[in-house]
Amino acid sequence: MAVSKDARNRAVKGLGTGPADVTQLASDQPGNRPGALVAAQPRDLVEPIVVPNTLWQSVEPAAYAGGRASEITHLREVEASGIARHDDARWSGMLEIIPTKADYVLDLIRANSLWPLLSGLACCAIEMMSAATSKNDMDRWGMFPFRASPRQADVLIVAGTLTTKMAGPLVRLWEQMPEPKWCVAMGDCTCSGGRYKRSYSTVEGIDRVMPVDVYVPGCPPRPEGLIFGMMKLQQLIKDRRGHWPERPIGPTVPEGV
Amino acid sequence: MTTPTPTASEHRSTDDPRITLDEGVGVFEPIPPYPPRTEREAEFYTLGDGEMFINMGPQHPSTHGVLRVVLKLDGEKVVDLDPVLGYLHRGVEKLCENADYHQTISQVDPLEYVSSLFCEWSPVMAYEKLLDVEVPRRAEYIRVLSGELNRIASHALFMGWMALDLGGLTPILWSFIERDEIVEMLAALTGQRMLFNYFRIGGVNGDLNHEFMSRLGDWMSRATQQIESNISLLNANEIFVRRMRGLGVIDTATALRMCMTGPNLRATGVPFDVRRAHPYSVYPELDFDIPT
Amino acid sequence: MDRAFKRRLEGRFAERLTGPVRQRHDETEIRIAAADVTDTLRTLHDDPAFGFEFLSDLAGVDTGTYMQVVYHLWSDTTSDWLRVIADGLSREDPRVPSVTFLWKGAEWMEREAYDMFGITFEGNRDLRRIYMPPDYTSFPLRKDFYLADDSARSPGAGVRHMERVHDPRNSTPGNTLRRARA
Repeated sequence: MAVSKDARNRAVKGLGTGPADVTQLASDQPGNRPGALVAAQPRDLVEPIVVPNTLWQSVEPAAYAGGRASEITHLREVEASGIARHDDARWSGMLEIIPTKADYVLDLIRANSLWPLLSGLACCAIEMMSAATSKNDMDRWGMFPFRASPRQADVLIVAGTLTTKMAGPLVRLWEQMPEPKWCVAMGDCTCSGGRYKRSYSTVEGIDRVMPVDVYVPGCPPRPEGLIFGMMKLQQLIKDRRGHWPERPIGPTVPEGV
Repeated sequence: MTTPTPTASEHRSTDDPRITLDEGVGVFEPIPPYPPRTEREAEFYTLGDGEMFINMGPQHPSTHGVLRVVLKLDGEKVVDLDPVLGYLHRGVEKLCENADYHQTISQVDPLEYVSSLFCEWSPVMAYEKLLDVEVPRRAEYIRVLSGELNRIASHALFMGWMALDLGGLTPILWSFIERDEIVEMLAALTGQRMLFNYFRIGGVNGDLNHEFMSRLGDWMSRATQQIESNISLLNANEIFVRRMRGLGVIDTATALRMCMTGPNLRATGVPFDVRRAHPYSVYPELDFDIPT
Repeated sequence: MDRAFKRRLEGRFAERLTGPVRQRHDETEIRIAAADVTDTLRTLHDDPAFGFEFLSDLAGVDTGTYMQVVYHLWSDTTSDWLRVIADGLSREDPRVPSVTFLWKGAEWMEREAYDMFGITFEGNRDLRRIYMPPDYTSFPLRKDFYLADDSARSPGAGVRHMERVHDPRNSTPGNTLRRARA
């Protein structure tokens, strides 16, 4: 669906299609363009997907290679659709919105009592547990009951590396969860494969097998980071921006990745 | 543009790490697999009278992480079981093949993610033996200190989870308070709460700093009392004791035959502790008992 | 380093050793042929003079030209770890007698060596894959198993060895199959 057969074939053979000289400079060095997501033919025009960073600056002068913050903030499509403007998870905007529909109340109810499914696979599970226990308490947002059964869960927090052997059971769990459901990819391994990107037995990011709403990067992300991701998910639910209403059934990984 | 074909012993079908939903994600083996591939499978997957299979699947609250156990039940009694591993096999050894020695130190962290410093310590010691590098005493003591703190944190997590499996919700909250304190301490020392990537060939990544020492002193002033209260929460609980006492008793001969190590082996009565039997680092100078 | 231990080993297993007994720091290593595994390990296990009751690990090794199976043993009689290397297995069809008759725990260790290298342990009642899915066709840790690599497509494709593309097309026998150092 999202991944064309051509791209998949290229992916299957495991070959990049970048320039013949594979020695590229790192993208965070000043003056380099990121070479990500190059097109199929070497002679095609390669446009970077960079959105210029006008949103934030680092206060630390020595950060980001001499004061220039990273040029890449998010995908161009996100910028074009305008939702990036609301992507701040701050509560100050809430008071200005006057509820006019009962749907809004339902969304509030759903957002404030998200029940996660216990899907701790690896190291991130320990940080997820840490986020659920006393010091960083997820119960403040109503997320304490980690349901063991997918039939009773709202959100699937995939915490830990997804291997090819586990992918089947995990997708089966996802399909067993009743709508409305959301998915949070916690940790680098679930966002993009992380440190196991080259490995023979891991899936490079769970968005290859299921639609993901929130990505929480980190290896492992701090419990506060996971809580920030969950708050962002709550914001998503209230803005009805999640994948759920017009949900694609399968993976959401972009083409060519 | 032609893509090269891999040679014979290479990737096919499920070998490909880039799988998507359409291609069929992984294999779910039916119970029982027929025809049985090995002797043990034939023996296990033959049902006696009144027996049944239950699959304690990879996702389960008490299989910590992912472990699939196929249980053969006679009523409620488990007669036999067949664990199926591999749901978290990430290919670390293969990734380490092309890496420098230093790169492997961070790669082996997640093998034992609850107490990663020990998982780093082993290869680092091996490299030091190969390279004949001598570690300064201060670094050795820092290693022992951070390692033992990590051990306490890991055992605190274990105690909490064990009680959670039996249904108690309180001990895990208490244990995680303790674990969070220790882990924040180690974060002040190493920069990370877990998967520290702290040991280096010939020492550690950075000296003790003031924040670590102040957190450590803070914790030490109430550590004993905290650990004691956590332990007595479990030991003084009659339900816990009656459920756990007398379960899973293994004798020494069986334990050695099964190649058990660690606290499980010590619980059978063998006073084997690697830190005493085969001491490394500065453990010969430290005085401690081996509980059996 | 336990010199007396080395002399005892040389005295006892003189005809079975295929190489010198090597010692380094706190480890002693002996090399035997694959056919001698049963006798040697049984002697090491049963003989009270050696008493190696504790099998710490069993691993497979692919050196590029041949395969090995390595056993790490511990005993109360000596302060050294003993490493027994069953050497010289062919890369096409490596077969080694199993030690599950001595240690039941070796069953899973041998399953791992089978899964990763394809080494068949004769006498193991349960030799099937342990990590990979049961229908997997390759043996991952062999030296001729290449990782599919996408570093050419990522901005981080760097200069270090791990970041380069390890493409089978670019390999020659000289740079992929690494020779063992004698």
